[in-house]
Amino acid sequence: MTRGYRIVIALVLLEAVTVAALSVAGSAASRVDDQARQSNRRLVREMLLTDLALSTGTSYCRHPSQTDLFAPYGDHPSAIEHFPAGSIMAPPAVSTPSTATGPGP
Amino acid sequence: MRRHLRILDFAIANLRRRPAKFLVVVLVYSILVAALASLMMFVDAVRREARSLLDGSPEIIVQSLRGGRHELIPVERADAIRAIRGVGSVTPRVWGYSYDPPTGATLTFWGAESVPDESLAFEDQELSSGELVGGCVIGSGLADLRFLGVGDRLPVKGYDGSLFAPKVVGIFESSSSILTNDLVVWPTDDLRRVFAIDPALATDLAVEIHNRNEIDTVAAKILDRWPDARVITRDQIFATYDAAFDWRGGLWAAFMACCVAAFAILVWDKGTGLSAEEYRTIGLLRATGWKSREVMELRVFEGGLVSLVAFLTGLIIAQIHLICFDGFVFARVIKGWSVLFPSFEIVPVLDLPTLLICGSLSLVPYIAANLVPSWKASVTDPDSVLRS
Repeated sequence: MTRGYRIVIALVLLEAVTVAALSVAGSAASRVDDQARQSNRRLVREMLLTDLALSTGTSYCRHPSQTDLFAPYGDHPSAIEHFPAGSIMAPPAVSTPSTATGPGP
Repeated sequence: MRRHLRILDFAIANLRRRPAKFLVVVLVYSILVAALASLMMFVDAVRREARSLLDGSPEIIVQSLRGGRHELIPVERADAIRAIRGVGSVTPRVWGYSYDPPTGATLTFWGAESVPDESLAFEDQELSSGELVGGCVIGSGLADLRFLGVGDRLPVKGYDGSLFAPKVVGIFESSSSILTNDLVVWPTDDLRRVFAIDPALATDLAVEIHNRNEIDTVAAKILDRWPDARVITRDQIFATYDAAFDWRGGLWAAFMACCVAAFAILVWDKGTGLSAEEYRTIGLLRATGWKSREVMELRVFEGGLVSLVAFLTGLIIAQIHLICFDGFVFARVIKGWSVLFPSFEIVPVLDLPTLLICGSLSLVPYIAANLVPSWKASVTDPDSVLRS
């Protein structure tokens, strides 16, 4: 017998410990950023912001929660989307008078 | 226990007999687990970040529609909405967009009289009270793009072509760029002049509701009173971002489904057809007195070892990809992209659902695919197995 299982068990344990250590490292990084996050929350509250500045190319990508349902097709019905970010933007979850206040799509 | 360890030892010896095959399977398997875990953690982290930040956004936004399109809303409606039971403050918001030809970026102009001090990057002679008297505060992305500093002027074209050049009195911290990257915060009255918005009108109304449970009721009352209104609740804002990130994650998942399918075919091919050598090994073990149960245990150990090592390696690669490299493989598609693209760090969390989903998609099929043919071979008469 080579007792190879000892090496393999050690390898598996080492990997498991590494996974756990990396998880802790991720959480630690989160705590470091807490102050900036608090500051950003206050900014949202005081300035009444509703959206993230992720894609600024067009209004429906910059403020997806505030946009019209048909916004990407503003040029004409079934217009082909021409903004890269808009191509991967899901429909906004807004309500219209006909859909009352239920959660959007 | 000793017997199990000996079987495990034998399984390891079996794997070491074909090191290249073992390593290739572990490598492909690890990459697959890493991609899957990265994607799940990345989408979850971005979604969590969005929810965490936007938790302070207004409970209800009231817009006005005309012909199905967004229209400026009369400010006088604010008083009527304020009279609804449960409503706190109602604040008219004035904001809009302006295209910036030199950079090709679309900027967001936001009407406000002040900004929180802690969100500003302070240097000498910079804005000290957060008050915007005749000046503007801009996002760090815009400042970098236009090479602007405090004291410089930002040229802006008004609605009639006239030129405005507000002085930059502050720049937002880069840590807030996820919210302010393209933002130009300007006193509301000045912004009204630039966009020609009458003082009796606003872009929309932000409604504060004291009790979260009353949000839907108040929204329904507003819709009932003004049929041309559109209300957007905070939950709908969350739902929008959940949908956006799920959608984007789904795009990647669809792409990865091809890889998963390829791996499944590999596993199936390997699992359903034992090689002649493996078949012969099982026959020999049975002929030398191994029981079917022990042969099965051997195969479980072999499959389990490959799966476990690959699974853990995949998780390590996924976490390093997210923590050290900010998930660069998925970042552009999940976050989006534009001329003014904010940089923000994500905080990956390896939670139980991620572990269970990755584990069930990777560990179970491989072990199962190993077991079925081995069981068939191990219950067959050793003599016929060896002769075949």
